Amino acid sequence: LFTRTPAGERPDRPFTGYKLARAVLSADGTRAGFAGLTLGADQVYGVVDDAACVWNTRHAPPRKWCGCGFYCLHALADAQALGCATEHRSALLIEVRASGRYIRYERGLRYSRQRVRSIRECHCECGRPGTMLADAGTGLVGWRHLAPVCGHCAAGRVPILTLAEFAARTGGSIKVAGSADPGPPMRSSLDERPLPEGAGESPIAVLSAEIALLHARLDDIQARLDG
Amino acid sequence: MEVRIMRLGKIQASGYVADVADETVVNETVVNESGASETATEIKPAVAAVPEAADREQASVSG
Repeated sequence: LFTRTPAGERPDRPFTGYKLARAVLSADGTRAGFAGLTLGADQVYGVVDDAACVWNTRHAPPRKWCGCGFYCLHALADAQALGCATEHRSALLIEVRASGRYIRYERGLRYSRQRVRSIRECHCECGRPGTMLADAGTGLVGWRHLAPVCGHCAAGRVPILTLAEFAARTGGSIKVAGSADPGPPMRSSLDERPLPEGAGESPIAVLSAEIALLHARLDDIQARLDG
Repeated sequence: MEVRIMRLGKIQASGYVADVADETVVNETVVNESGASETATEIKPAVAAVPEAADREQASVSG
């Protein structure tokens, strides 16, 4: 294994970074972890983990001319912006400590060792802050993807874990936003805004209501024609 | 499905940093006004990277 340590900076403390990750739960429900979103989407990692190159196991991540290694962004706002993308809406925004070999870029890092410190925020598909995690309906071999849900949308979805229960199953000491030690404020004013009427309803329920209304109008028109 | 990529930008530097469990506790010995020495304990949080001069490579956010 090629493990040359890059020359250059030698900070005395790990970097703080922010990233998006999918929450995953083991098939037996006893263990939890995280999965990447694009290149690392098939890789599950724990609270403390070392990166592995998915293309070439003969070099140690991050290799300069390879895309391997963990990734994070320096700024929380950049991670929040990334989370607005449609395909990332069910991801958790997590805070990490990046260490080991690293390559530092303008907006983030690529690095070899990661320690997940906290779950900063997540959102239900209805737009409210996520307070629990439910089966997303997708997964990897041995792992179910979990999606954040709010209390309004949680009914009838399984398995349901609170964020704290999820954190406990990771086997590490992960802080959760809104817990006893939440750290810096994590909620924006958007979180407190009332949602539009029906925003929390499932699409099927809304569609059913609209079809029922349409039927009622058709019945009314038919009655007038008959009369 | 389309995979959206966010650029990390140009390379600034590379290096190595040791992993530590959490915040680093630093003990410093200081001399007070009466001449006696005291040990001051400071907890330094993990650092945030500060971008510096640009280099040449681009990268993408993955996972």
